[in-house]
Amino acid sequence: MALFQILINNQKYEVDVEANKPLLWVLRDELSLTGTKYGCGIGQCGACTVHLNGTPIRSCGISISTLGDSKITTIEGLKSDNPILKAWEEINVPQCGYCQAGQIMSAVALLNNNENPNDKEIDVAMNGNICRCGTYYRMRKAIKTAVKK
Amino acid sequence: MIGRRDFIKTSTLATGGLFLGVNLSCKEKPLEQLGPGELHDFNAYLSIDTNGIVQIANPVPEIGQGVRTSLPMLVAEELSVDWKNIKVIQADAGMRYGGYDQRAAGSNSVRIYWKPMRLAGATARELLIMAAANVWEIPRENCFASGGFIHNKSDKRSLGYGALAEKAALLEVPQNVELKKPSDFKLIGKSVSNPDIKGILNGSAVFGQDVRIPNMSYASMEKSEVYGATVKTFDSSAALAIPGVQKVFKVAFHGDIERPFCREGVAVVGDSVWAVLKGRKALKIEWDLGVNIKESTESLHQNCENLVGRKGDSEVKNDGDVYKLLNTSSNKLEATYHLPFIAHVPMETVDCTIDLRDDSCEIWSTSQVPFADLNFLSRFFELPTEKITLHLTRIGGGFGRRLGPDYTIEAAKVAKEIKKPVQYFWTREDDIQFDAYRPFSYHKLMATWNDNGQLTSWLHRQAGTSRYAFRPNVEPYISEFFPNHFPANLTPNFRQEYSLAVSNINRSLIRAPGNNSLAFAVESFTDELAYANNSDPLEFRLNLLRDGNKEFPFDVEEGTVISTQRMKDVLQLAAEKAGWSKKLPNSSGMGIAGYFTFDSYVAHVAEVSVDRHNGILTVHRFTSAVDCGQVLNVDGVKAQTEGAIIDGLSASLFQEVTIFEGKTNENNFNNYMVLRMKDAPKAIDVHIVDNGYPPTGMGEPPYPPVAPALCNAIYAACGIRIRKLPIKNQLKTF
Repeated sequence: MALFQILINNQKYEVDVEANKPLLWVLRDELSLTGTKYGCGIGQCGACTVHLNGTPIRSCGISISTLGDSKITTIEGLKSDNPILKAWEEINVPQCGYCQAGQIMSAVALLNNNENPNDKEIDVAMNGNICRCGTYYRMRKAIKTAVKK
Repeated sequence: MIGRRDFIKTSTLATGGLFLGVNLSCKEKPLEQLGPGELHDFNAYLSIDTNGIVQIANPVPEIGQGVRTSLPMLVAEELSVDWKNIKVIQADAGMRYGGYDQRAAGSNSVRIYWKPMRLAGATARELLIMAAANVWEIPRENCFASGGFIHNKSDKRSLGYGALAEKAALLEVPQNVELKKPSDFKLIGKSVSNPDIKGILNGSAVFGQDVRIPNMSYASMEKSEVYGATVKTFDSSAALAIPGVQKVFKVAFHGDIERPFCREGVAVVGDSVWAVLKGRKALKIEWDLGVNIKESTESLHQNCENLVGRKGDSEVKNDGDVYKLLNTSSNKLEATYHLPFIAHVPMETVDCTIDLRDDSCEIWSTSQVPFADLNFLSRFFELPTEKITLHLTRIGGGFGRRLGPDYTIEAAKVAKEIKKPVQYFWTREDDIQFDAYRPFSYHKLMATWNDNGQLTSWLHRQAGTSRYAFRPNVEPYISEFFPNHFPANLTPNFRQEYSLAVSNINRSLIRAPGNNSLAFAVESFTDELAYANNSDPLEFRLNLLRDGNKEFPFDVEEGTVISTQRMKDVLQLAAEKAGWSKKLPNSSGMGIAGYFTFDSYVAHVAEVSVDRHNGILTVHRFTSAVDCGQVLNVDGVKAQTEGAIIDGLSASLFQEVTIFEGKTNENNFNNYMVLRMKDAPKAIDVHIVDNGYPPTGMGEPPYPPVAPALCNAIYAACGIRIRKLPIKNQLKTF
């Protein structure tokens, strides 16, 4: 076990955990930031997507010891007026909702880096995220709606 | 939190389970700006607080089917209250809320709750009207309810529900309450917002695995990949040395729980999920693998192919003399279709949190059948059901996975052993390897037609691993065949046969069970028959269904019927909206399929193109027509249809569970694939037939016709007939 200081949603946390503990489980087990979800544990489904210095990453595959003073943003850290959140609500995207935190983090990162992505760019940005309820059609629509906001 | 004071119980209703009591006024303020208010219960489903917020209890598990929107709409409609003043809470499992009716199964929720929940709203509305009439000292007929107020017809006075609630709750409950006429509906048949959207978008929605209770441990179980294997010996020393691991013990099932599907294993309990996962990896277990190591899907393929090559063991239905026609007719066709085992893979793997105390128990469940679990747990813990509180969390997908009690039983075993609060969970590997799959099946179809192109006989032989094979005293075909489904009754000679392929691989229900396999075989073969007749696939179907409306008994027990007109209507609407007869580019095509499931009718037209050099399929568009009778939430109907299309595409394109030496080869999303954004159609158009029939469900009915619509479109595009799912690389032919 070792002490680590991490910066999540602009808040400093100190946790005493094993160095190889994945960020996902630090968020969920230690900090009760349960908005970030477990889906597969091998970086295939994207349910655990968070931002590391603005880049979407799968938090199940990154150890706490590698974070250093990186800035982590989770679903809980998004501002409620984020155009993606607004569009998600307007289009009524979620069904069960379990994958949606990961989907939203991928979509927010996409728009942060690309003001007006085309379909191909949306495919690439969102392809790491599985939605078992099948909301892809609405998510694409919502991303395009957010662009206009 | 809204305080729960002044609970007033007044009476019980004839529908059972509802009892009345209430409270207050509708202020024009957004929900989140309101402080706590007094709460008065009108009945089990409905209470109103001093701020005018109407709290509605949803009785059915929410697995993404939108039931926390559609059922509360029924109460809100009859109560005549604005949707924005609604707060939806999740009812615990119990007789008060319907008991066994509280199930996310069989696309049943709207069929079951359509009347009782409207009655709950209407009764409260009537009580409020009576209370207002008393205040104004006028006849009840001079009052009406609208927008959270009771209005006086003769002047402009009005009273908020809040001001009337306490008075209303003291009145005698009226017995003959009138429900609204459909023409007066203000919410039903419209689209309303999802009451849970904010929590989903900000990460605060609590799913099963998000439950946190004081002093809670986490637990999971290491099991053998071979079903029926037993633990010979295990060494827990390395696991116990891992920081955070609290306890390791064997969990066996020796008839103390008379349920199938549970696997013996070694449970690891720890103070975090991560500790438990590491503990599981560190276990050393020696297994006695048992007899099921001989199981393989390869041998099942051979077995089923042989079985459909001869007369079936069971005659499911027999009209006329199919064999005579097959022996004498020169116009005939036969084809064999196959559907593999598939897994459910809900995004949230299964979990159950249990706080077992000496004389009571509290459970946070993700079950689709919570009342069944409640009763099981009552027996297992030897506690009366009144001493068990079973909460339902939001649930990360169902698809039928959570109808099985296996994980709840395992959680109960662990809770009993450790005697402290525990959250029991499966990993994704557990989920795919230890799932109970959709049955494996082969379907051989043979048909004849006369020189006018009319179907004269139809034989459907199915061989497979029925999920009912595990049930004593039940014919295994019951779960795999629906004898009155079309084209039954549409041809004088019609026969269905079934042969059971013996297997110990676990299987259970998956979205539209039975139907999802039958639809592929029946609607693909119908398409083949159309081409064999040089007919347009739509015209061929319409001719088969003939002019006018005929209704045939479908499920005698439930008194349901299947209608030719309603089927024709969805086929025609989908075709018309898709531009069925329009000219498409080379290598592109449209396919149609229509199917009846759980009293709803759905037709899809798929539009695809196939690049045969690379074997690349592009699904451009799905155009769907649905008839689910009276629609509750239009947006919900569309969402379920869109989702079912994606689910059906996943199953058609990739999904297959294969078994070798008793073990499932697939174990995560890298080898058991789910459709992703890039392969999803960019256009899905859902059209609704509005016909005033009673409402039916939409969670399952759009799923079965997806695979045949897709494969029929592939044939139209490139001439390759897909008869075995998944499609995988069958399109790569050069």
